[in-house]
Amino acid sequence: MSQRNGAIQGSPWGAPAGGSRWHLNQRRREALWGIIFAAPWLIGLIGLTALPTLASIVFSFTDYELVKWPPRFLGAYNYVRLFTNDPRFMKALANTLFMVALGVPSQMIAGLLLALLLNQKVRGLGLYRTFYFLPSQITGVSLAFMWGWILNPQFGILSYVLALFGIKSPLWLADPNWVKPAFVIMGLWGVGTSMIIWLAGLQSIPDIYYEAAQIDGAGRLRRFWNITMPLLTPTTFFTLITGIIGSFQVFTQAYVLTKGGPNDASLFYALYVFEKAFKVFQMGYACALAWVLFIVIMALTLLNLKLSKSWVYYEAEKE
Amino acid sequence: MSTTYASTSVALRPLARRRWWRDFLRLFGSHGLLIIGSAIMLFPFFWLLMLSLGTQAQLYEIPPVWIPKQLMFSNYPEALERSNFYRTFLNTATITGFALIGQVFSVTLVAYSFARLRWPGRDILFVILLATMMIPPQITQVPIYILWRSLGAINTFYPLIVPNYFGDPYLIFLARQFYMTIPLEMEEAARVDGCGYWDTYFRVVLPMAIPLVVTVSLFAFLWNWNDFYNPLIYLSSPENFTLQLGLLAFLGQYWTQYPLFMANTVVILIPVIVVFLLGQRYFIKSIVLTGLK
Repeated sequence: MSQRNGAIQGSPWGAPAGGSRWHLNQRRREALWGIIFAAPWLIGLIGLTALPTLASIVFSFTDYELVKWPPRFLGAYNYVRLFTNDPRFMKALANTLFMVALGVPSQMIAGLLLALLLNQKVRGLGLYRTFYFLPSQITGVSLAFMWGWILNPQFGILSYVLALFGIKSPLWLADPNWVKPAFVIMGLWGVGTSMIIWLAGLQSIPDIYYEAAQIDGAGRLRRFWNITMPLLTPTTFFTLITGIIGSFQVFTQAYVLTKGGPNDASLFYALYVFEKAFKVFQMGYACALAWVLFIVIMALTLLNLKLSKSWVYYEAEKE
Repeated sequence: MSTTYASTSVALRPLARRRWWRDFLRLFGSHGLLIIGSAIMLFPFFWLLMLSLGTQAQLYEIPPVWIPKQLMFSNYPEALERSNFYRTFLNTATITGFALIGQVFSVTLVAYSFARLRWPGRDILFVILLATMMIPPQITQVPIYILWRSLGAINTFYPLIVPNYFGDPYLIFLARQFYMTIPLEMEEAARVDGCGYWDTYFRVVLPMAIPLVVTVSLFAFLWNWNDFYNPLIYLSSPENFTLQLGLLAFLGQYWTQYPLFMANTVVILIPVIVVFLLGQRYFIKSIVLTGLK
């Protein structure tokens, strides 16, 4: 089966001319070398993905802690405890879903607006693109502290600017109600990646559609809603899915700036798993947390996949 | 001929002028927005630089000191000396260097196998490769940690370097897409001439795939250089810290010396910015090629 597919996808050595011994040897040699070449990843798949995944399932049903050996089998106890007796888990999940609900749409809209501005064949496109794209590649502790001081409620530049407009600045990272929006703002600074994806989507729309619509008398807004948006739906869907998955991995900024505080208001899911696994070394419980994370992400992805059937438009499908 | 031309141009003139104005406004408007946006995007860099060249007292001034009257360049040598900078820089460079070699080696090889060689199970395994990208790292991190612990490798660089030698699935996917775009003729010719699989890959394919090698190197560099999570898990003693961990530790010790801390941050960001500027077009191309990251 794979050999037939291989021929379709274009193996360089051409289709073998039948069952002669030479060809059989050739095929075997090719298969052998194929597996040898793929070996690094295959070994990694077994050693660093498959076996750890299995181990993780097993651990999640035990009370495994780093110093406690052998672990005791608990059945579904960890999972029951998560949902019935762990308010911090609920808090972490709620915080993260809040980030998804607020952060993902704002990232998407900001990315699209920037891409639309850059798609107008303006002069200096390359320069603008660099300016917007660069911040998205700055991560880690440096990013966190760069923003930590900007968001300082007393001496930060943001509160100063807000004061110029007569707005009293919230306490940002020190206020349970504002700490998550503060992280969303920090996230918006990294909008460059999604902008590049939107830009690629916009540039793949053939001009001919716009020209036809213009001849039919469609205005700019009309063209945007009836041509750009439908043809961009695959990009929209893609940025939505990757945005949601990315939101569940928010870690460094919160770890460095707030440690999850104040009052657990920025205790994000990744932070909580890290705490359980590597601060208090409750490995079994951390594995159960990880699996719930996986199920939540899967559920959201499948839900979106199902919903997408009604709004995502794939050109090839309809032709 | 010329009369026709003249008459049409007269007829079109009011319309053309109106359109010119509209275009001008539109262009001006977009440039205006784009410039404001750029200023917002670049401001944190500027602000970081200014804080790093100021004094601690200036931090607390209202209105803020936009540009310090006296630029304290001495903050820089002082910051590097007081922080564990040289050590952490060397550590990060070591980890990143070996990681980069590992990714380039494994990714280009594995992707070549997926793109061009036929072997049983290949297509199913490729789907599995794509599926592994969906697994959150939290699932496997505990068992992998225990594996390294049982090997006595906690607080060494091995857990940070070795996984790079098994090929990152995203980069393998990217590399496979890349191989699909390069023509087959050269490989075919090499094969006809009796060149073995390894030699074909190493002498014919790899030299044609230099942009791919550059792209993989750039990603591997940025990911490992910026990585905070894994060093946080695996490295515990300060002499093993990476730049990111060192920066955090430095802050703990010198909370009252914010400009020094900012100077340290600037120095750490410089290689990232340089690599980004050099590699920007490769990043953009790979995003377009895969639609990812």
